[in-house]
Amino acid sequence: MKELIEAIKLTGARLCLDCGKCTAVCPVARTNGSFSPRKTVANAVAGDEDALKDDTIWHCLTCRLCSERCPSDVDYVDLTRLARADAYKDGKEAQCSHGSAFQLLMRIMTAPELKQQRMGWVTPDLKIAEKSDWLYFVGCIPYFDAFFEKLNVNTSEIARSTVKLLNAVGIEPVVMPDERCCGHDLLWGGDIENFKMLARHNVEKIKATGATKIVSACPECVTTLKVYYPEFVGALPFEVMHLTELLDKHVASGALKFRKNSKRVTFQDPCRLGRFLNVYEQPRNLLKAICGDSFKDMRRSRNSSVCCGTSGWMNCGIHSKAIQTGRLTEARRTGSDLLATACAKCKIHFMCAMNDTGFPEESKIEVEDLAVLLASSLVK
Amino acid sequence: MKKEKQASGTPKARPAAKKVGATAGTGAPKPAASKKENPLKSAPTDAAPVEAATASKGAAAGGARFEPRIVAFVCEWCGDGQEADGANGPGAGGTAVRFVHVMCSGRVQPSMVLKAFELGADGVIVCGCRPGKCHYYFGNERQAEMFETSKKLVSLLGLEADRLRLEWIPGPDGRTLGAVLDEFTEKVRRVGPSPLRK
Ligand code: SF4
Ligand code: SF4
Repeated sequence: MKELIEAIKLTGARLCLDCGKCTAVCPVARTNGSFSPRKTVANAVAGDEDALKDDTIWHCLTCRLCSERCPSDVDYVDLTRLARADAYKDGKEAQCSHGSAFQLLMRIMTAPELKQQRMGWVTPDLKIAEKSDWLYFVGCIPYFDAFFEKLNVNTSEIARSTVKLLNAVGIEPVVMPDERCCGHDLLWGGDIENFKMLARHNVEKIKATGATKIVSACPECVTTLKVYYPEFVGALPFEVMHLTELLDKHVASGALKFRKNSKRVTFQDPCRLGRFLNVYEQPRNLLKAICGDSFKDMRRSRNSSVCCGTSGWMNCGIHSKAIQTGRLTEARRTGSDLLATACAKCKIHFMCAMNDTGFPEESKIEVEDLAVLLASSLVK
Repeated sequence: MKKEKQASGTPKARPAAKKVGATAGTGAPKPAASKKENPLKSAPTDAAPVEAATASKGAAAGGARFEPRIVAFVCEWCGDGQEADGANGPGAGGTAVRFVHVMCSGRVQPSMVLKAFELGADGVIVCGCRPGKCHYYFGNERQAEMFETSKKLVSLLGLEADRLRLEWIPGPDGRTLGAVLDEFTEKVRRVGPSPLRK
């Protein structure tokens, strides 16, 4: 309980006005009537011990939309993170999809002696260096492809495209064969011990390469490294950025050019890229560089964007599917043929939703990662 | 064929875990075992051979023979009580095979295979009914598909391919479950201890 009182203090929950804006915007609360961030905050502040201990703490997508709206700046997402860590210590766990396969992969990756074979996606046309200032942090992309082969998510193409784009701006990055999962999902699932092991391993390995600039196409990796690693394992001797931040600079300076096409495209802001890292303009600039005026935002976009419906492979079910169907319908309504995103997991979740029997035909839309779209439009 | 099987009623009841060879398993690890207990770790008789094996990495080198920890997911319908035979068969000497009984091999998701490895298994084998003989018509086909995923994940993790096996029972040349397990155990013995042993 001491931890929870501390969590209430840290996240400013005591300043809650009980206005209910959080619950009003929360995508989970919209589909799952039993979930209410306002109620959780209000009860926790009122001293109800169970408010931060019952099952509802696992329902939150940690999308941060509520905090965006909160007039009192209550950090509900962090409150959730701390409450989960506390619950995990008591032996509680989220209901994880796929039989916890991904959590297991992550925990297996904490074993120091593991010698992964994760470089299969690298093709001979990609220029990768042994030593460089730049390091490309790939994330769990190789595992996604193995696990979701049936959905044909082809996430490895995101990794290949990333290297192609880096090569195009004159960067030959280091790629670590012994990179481990960044631990994002363990952190948000409350498993702090294993998260720290992954963090320490990655930081050590990155340090050993001598790279000072880390780039990733995965917003979760970037957020975890940039925001949470320092909190848990101390200051980092390197800089971390998302691919779109880097590329945007090169497009602005005219160094990077794309072939134009007239595809009608809209964009899904990944929660971590948008509300956590404040990267809103860069992906849009890049999309406009390839499709000009035929880029169109959804009604709810940027900091009002709606999450792709599942986070940390937790709690996927009817509520997730309802959120996904709603979001895809919204994307379709912009008149676009293609929904671009900048997170492999957004792509997987949306493609999975569309694969369901009964998914409305009129809401189907092609989903592709921004890196893949950009790499295929590179001027050779 | 299918009808015949159904007519024979429920699968034979049998104890959850059987002694194999000289060593006793502690019981079938629950696939979703809580993170606090490790059923593979708690086998008391393992300790000595494991240390010897880690020191000598693999086969007989240091004197004591490496006794791999094997997790066998066995379908209730195809094993037909055979593990008892295999247990006392010639090759099984001293290895505790932990049986996880499932109603159908189609139940064994990749996560269950991963869980066994996470808990420190040196080898994992999934046993199901031969093609066309599944009690639930297509469970073994599902397993064959899921097994491809399990295999890929295990290979990405860098674990040797010989640590994971799918076998239809009766095995090749009509081999019994026991013979299949013996042979698999020998293979894993040659590969050596898993890097995930805790
Ligand atoms: S973070 Fe997102 S899912 Fe969680 S309570 Fe806030 S709006 Fe709802
Ligand atoms: S939006 Fe903020 S102030 Fe309003 S109920 Fe939610 S947490 Fe409280």
